[in-house]
Amino acid sequence: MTDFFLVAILVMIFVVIFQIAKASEYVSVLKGQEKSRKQNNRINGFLMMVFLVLGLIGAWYCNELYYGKTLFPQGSASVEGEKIDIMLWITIAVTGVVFIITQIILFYFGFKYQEKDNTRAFYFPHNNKLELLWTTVPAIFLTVLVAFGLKYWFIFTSDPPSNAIVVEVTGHQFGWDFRYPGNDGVLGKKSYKLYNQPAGNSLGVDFNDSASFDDIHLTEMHIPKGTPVKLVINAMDVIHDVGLSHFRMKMDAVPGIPTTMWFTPKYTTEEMKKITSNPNFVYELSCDQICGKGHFTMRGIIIVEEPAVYQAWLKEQKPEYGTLFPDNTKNTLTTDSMSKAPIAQIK
Amino acid sequence: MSTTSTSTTTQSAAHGTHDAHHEHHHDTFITKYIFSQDHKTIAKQFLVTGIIWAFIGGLFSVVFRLQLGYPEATFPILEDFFGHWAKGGKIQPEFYYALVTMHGTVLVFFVLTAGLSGTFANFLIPLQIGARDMASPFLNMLSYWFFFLASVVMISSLFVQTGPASGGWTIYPPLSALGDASSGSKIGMDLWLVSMALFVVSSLLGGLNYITTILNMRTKGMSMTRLICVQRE
Repeated sequence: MTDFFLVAILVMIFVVIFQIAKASEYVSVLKGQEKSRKQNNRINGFLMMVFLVLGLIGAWYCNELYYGKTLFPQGSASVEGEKIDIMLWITIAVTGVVFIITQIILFYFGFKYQEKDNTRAFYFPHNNKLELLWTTVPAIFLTVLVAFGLKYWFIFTSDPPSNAIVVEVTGHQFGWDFRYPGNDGVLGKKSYKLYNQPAGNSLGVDFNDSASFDDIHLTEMHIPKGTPVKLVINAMDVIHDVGLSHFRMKMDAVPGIPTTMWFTPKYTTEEMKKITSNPNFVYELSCDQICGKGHFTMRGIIIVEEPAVYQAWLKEQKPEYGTLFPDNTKNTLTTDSMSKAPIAQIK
Repeated sequence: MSTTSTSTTTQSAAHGTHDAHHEHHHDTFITKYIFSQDHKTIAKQFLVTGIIWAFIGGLFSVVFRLQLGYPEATFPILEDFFGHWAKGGKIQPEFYYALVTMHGTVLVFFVLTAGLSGTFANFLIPLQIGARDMASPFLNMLSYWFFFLASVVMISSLFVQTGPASGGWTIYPPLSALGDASSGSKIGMDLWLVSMALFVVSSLLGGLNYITTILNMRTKGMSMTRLICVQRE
């Protein structure tokens, strides 16, 4: 019954709109088509100006209302992100100026050059100088923006400074895993064929590879302040995206194609709590690529600490190998033949 | 006086041509309004279908933005319309992504591509270049009906049990390719692909027609450099 009423209401609304349109058409016929058309034309011309003024005020007002809620006022939480912010500001400034000028011209001309009895439209088909100008100026500006973008892209995706720490980030439906390379500074090999969730090898780590013995597997990322952090990014199933809005960083996590990026955190989580006046502040890792039903739940936590605190925390962490094979740890570290045993167990 | 007689002659001549033109066509309702080969009628068909799609696509965005704008609120009326997709008056995650995906698909392909270019190109190209109609009215008609078929298939994907495609309008694999990764990647995705294939055929036929018409059907004196950007009276 409710459904019937809903449909009936919708139909009635359409009928009302239709009748109003029809009535206004009859009114215009009675008034005389030509006269009514000219009057409509004047009203439209006036509305152009109203729209321009209200539109610009609206754009300014929205900015006043919501600017504080964006991440802009906090500034970038990473050294490299500052460059992204500058690029963004330059883009906003230039496109903003162009936007305001073109909108004013668009609506004002609509008003000023409306149809009048004593004026005729000027036919203006072509002008080479204008064409050249409005093609080259945006082209040059866009090229400069792209050049800067590429420059930073190559910096962020190339090798980080030698003192960088490495963290492997793996996205899966629906969550994030982090792997630290341990004392040797090298991440153990992985293979999708070795993936075995029930046995605990949820990342498909090759435990025959001695580099994996000291690797630490966590579900929360800790990183030191002021030290470059290189992320090696993977995905287990579908495409995800490591979105680090506070650090102004973002990189796709593609199955089978590891991607990398690096950045240097500027503030610890505690410092950010004060900067943002938010006692519950945490750095978030959000999935920025639609990845299925639970996409919105893919939130990772990143904790930035003072280097000394970070080192102390790291020392407390147990390698995954040790927790998976508590008995074999020492033996397999020394003999290659023994190292094959745990992989058989996993399989 | 002579001017009047000349203009009368011209008019009657024009009338004669008009009549002669009509002698070859005995339009029935079907050939005139449904399987029409007239560029203006086809343009209007694209327009009407495009407007219907714009309403549907706009409605999708209203529904998912309701959830986005008021994530804590419940709207029991939504359950009346969408059943288990809006259990308890809340848009379910799969349905939310399906709405986003279909909104993008509909607006980008069916409204902006077919609705706008199908309408304006078909309506205006012959008028602007001084041609009687498009180069191939038959292909033009096929172009619309392939689009219509694509629309029917896309609409039908909204009513399947596992829901329509929900992997984002860019349909990135593997999310869109694996039925296990997302329920929208099951039959909904198959229908999306079939619809898109039909749509591509429609666009191709339309595009071929636009290019051929502009290259071959320009009136005498209308060189490529004289083609105009906007219509003037």
